[in-house]
Amino acid sequence: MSVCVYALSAGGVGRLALTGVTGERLRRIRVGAVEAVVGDVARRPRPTEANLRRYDRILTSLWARTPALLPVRFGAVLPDRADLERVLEARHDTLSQRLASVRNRAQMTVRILPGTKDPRSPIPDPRSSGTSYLRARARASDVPEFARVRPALRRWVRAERVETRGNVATMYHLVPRSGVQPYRRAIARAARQADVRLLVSGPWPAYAFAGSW
Amino acid sequence: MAVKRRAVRSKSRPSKKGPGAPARRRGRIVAKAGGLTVTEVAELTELRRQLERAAGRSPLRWNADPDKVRRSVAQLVLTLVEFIRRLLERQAVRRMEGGTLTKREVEDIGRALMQLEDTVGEMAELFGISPEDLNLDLGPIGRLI
Amino acid sequence: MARPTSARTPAERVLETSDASLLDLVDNALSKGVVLTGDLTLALAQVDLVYARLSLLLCAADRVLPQEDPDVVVRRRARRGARRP
Repeated sequence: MSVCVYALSAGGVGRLALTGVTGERLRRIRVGAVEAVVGDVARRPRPTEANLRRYDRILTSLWARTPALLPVRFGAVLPDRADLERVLEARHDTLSQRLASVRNRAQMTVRILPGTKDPRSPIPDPRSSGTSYLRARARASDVPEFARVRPALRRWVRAERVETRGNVATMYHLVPRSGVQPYRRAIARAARQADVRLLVSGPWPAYAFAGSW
Repeated sequence: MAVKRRAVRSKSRPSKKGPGAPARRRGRIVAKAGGLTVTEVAELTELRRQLERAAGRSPLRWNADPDKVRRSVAQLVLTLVEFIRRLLERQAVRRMEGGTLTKREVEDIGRALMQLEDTVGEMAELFGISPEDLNLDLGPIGRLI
Repeated sequence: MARPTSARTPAERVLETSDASLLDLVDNALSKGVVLTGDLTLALAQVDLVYARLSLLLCAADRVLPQEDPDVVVRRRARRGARRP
């Protein structure tokens, strides 16, 4: 049997009367200040819609019980307990820091189909100096619609990640749990004022802020 | 410190924000009204498919064929350099926007990055490698960029 | 750009509810979260020769890649001496 890892916590998950994606009982493996929530599986679970929904429910349950939770990518299967312990040991400090940085915070996901032309005037001759080059590179990864709503959200945003894949740009915000409702109101208002169509979802556990990079 | 249990978990479902969107009620699944257009749904569905494909890709594999070893090696090396270049660029942009670089540093780093980009491009051309080829899927690490 | 509900077909409405949220599930579970495992195969002439466990590489990457505090806001405020929840 292999070990399937669901999430990492700083403890406090309490009694785990939960079943995993394949119906297996979940248990905890602790290394230092990091606790992994795991289940024994015969093989790596497949990312079917049903399994992904189960996974989401499991993470939601865990997150409701403990303030600091790092979701682990779906399908993380290690050969045995000892292997997991080695990995957790080797990455202990980083993971511990990550847990601290997401403690009591939630992820809000904001998506847009970028279509609006950038209202800012383009940077003239970006290769003329190092400074203009770097500014142009900064702008290349910026999404103008996000830039328009960001000021209204600053008060609640503790961290941000922006990703563009194809025609969809996504902004992930790490927000204090207590700030989720004000954040929702603020972004709705800002989107109306900026005449921007956004798709907002959340609160989620801090999926997008779990990686070290 | 005792962990408070959240009695009501209000997890909001996707909802559109924009002119004419009705007020949403907390904790309910919001279906639509004034929701997404067909184009938008198509784009989001396509994104989901891309993510599923990326996740389903078989584990990272690098292979060099005997008659193309030089090119394969060059591609691997340049892909790694390109990865590092993007990482450096991202960090530089972050620090510039975070206000932790002096004007002189912005200028110097900008110039160095520009030259790095040019160098990678020139070397790729030397080996007949196109910019797309430098996008070797780096698996779990790759999505950093 | 909102069309009145009645003008949209049932198919369109169904897509909005399940499909959009399925995107979030896929995005969160399959492309986010802590990466604990991964594999790399090195081959010559299509013959797999080296099989590396990426978990080891990820450990090294923790040390090598920037562990920058993404909280730019927090940094700025820290300079001003404020604490954040």
